[in-house]
Amino acid sequence: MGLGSYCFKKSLWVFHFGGSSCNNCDIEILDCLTPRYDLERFGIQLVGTIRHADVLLVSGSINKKCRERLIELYNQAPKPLLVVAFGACGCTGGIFAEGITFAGPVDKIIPVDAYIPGCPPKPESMLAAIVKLTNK
Amino acid sequence: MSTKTIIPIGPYHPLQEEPELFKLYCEGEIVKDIEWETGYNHRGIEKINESKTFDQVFFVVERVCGICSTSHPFAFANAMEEIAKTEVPDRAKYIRTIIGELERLHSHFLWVGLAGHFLGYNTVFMWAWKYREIILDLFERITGNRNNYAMFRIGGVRRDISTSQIPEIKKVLDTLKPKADLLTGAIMDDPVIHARTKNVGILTKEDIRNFGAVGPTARASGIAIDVRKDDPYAAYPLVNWKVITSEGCDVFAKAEVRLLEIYESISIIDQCLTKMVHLKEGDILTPVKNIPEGMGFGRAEAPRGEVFHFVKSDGSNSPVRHKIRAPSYVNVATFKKSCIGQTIADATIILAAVDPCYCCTERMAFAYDYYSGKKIMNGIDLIRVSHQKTNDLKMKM
Amino acid sequence: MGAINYDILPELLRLTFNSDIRRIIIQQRRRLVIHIRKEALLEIANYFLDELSYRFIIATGMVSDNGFELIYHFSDDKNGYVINLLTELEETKPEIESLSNLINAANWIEREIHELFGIKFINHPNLTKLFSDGNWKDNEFPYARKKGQKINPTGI
Repeated sequence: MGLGSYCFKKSLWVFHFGGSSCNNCDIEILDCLTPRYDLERFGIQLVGTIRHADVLLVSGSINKKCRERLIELYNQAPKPLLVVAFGACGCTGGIFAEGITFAGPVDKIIPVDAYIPGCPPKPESMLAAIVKLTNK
Repeated sequence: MSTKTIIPIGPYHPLQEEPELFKLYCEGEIVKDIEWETGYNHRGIEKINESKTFDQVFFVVERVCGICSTSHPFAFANAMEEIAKTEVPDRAKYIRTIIGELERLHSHFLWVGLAGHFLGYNTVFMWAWKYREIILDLFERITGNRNNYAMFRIGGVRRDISTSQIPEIKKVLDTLKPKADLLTGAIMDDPVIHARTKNVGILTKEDIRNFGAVGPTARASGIAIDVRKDDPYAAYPLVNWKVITSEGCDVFAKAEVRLLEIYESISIIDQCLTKMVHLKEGDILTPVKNIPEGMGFGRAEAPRGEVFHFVKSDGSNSPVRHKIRAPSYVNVATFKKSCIGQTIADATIILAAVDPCYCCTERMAFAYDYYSGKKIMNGIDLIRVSHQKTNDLKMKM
Repeated sequence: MGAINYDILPELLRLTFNSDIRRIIIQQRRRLVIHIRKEALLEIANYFLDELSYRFIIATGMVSDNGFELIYHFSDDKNGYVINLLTELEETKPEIESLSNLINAANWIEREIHELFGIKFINHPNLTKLFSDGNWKDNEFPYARKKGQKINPTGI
């Protein structure tokens, strides 16, 4: 078993970065922690600092001001790190890709391991994505 | 004293990274000045809209803010119907009102959860968001999606609520009232919450007028402005309801206004559903062929206050200029008044009381020393300090 | 001032402000657009805020073939009206007195319009960047008129 698979055998700690998002995705992520979907029973929790994280969850289309922060965060994160682009904006920029401040979808800035499409993606998609990632 | 058990699961910070939105300059415990840095969310929406047709703009403005997702299309539709001089059929008016009020419900439940979280009552957070799911299920049943409903179009709505669905919806609303009672009781009757929120973050009537604040922020200081009553639109003049105000001017008053508005919203939706039964199904659109040249000034009452859209049209298919003003734009500026002189521990609840779009609330406060400019606390610390104050108060009581 | 009678308000404004008011466009149903000389902005805005107790909603910056246009939107909450002051600025030197000293609600929007269009608000207490830092370069005004763009002036 490789180092990557060994590290992700147990519970995933997720750090969420909100780019210039409309917050629908951010609220759906929080929704996953509430009693109905309850991600915590899988041991998944949101952490307050990137240095504790196994997964970097990026939502929102990234504007020029956020881009530097994202790169900084990625560099600060301990590897191995899984990057997940959440929502239509995270995957491709969505409708905001034509905006004047758009700085490229997430995969043009940092390498992405998984995409969760949707506007916003339903909590069920997030659960399915987590399962797929841990089995990768 | 509350008999609920509080389980310290830890602060949730979905957006906890560097972009500091608010910098609190502190001398000891007291906030002396506040500065803000914005721009992390700028997407150039007004410019994007100039290259979209009017029908497409609805989908763009829905995504201006996720929580007030319906209020922006609502105001935009009002603006366009002014230009086109169209009257919307009654059934469409009721459906628009129902969607608008359901959104107010889900937003206020969300806010109650957040307020509980910032004060250290994580159970309130969990329960409020659990009950919010009932409303999101209702949305999914009516519109097909939990968020971003795409219900509006110029001249009416996209989807009908069939008469057979109405009894089910009413039944769900009935189950919501006892949940609202539970949360209202938990917040309004708790002496620790009284101690944390009364006389905290005061905004006088003069402050409200000076900053042009709107919504529950203004109504909690006794200023009864509400677009639904002042400049009526959709089905609001066709049903009975009242504007909720409070004279408290503090954070507690803002919570009170939002909690009581939940009951008004449930009543409005109920009345709309009752009146809709007698209207012809399917009559939900007045077709509009062309948009003439002109200007439209559309308003809607979002959960946070007045949303204002200005549209200038030149007879073509796209807006020449589309100005969007969200309520948080004027409400957030009131922090300059309400935060200064307060303690660091109260900073998060004062900032949350104005109910800025959630991302602004989280991705925000950092405390700096007033004299040296050194960063002394980040967002997690501020919330931790707030929880600490609640615990200290509980010990005393 | 007591209840405002909108049947006589246009006449009253013309009598009070004479040639400062160029044109009053009465839109349908509770909307008014008043085209004014830019020099009269502070006086008329003061009248709206103090005498008539209007609330300042927001300001909109626009471009047209004649240069820049600014619309200041006010709300009469008691009667449900939106009253708009429209003024034109030259393309080469777009300047106007700031409203922020009269009402704080105008502070941020004037900074925003300055960043997007390049319009200068004289005597603004703090005409610094609101959100453009990092998003676009200094002295770049993304919403200003592009070469060859044709836009009819508003309401004229």
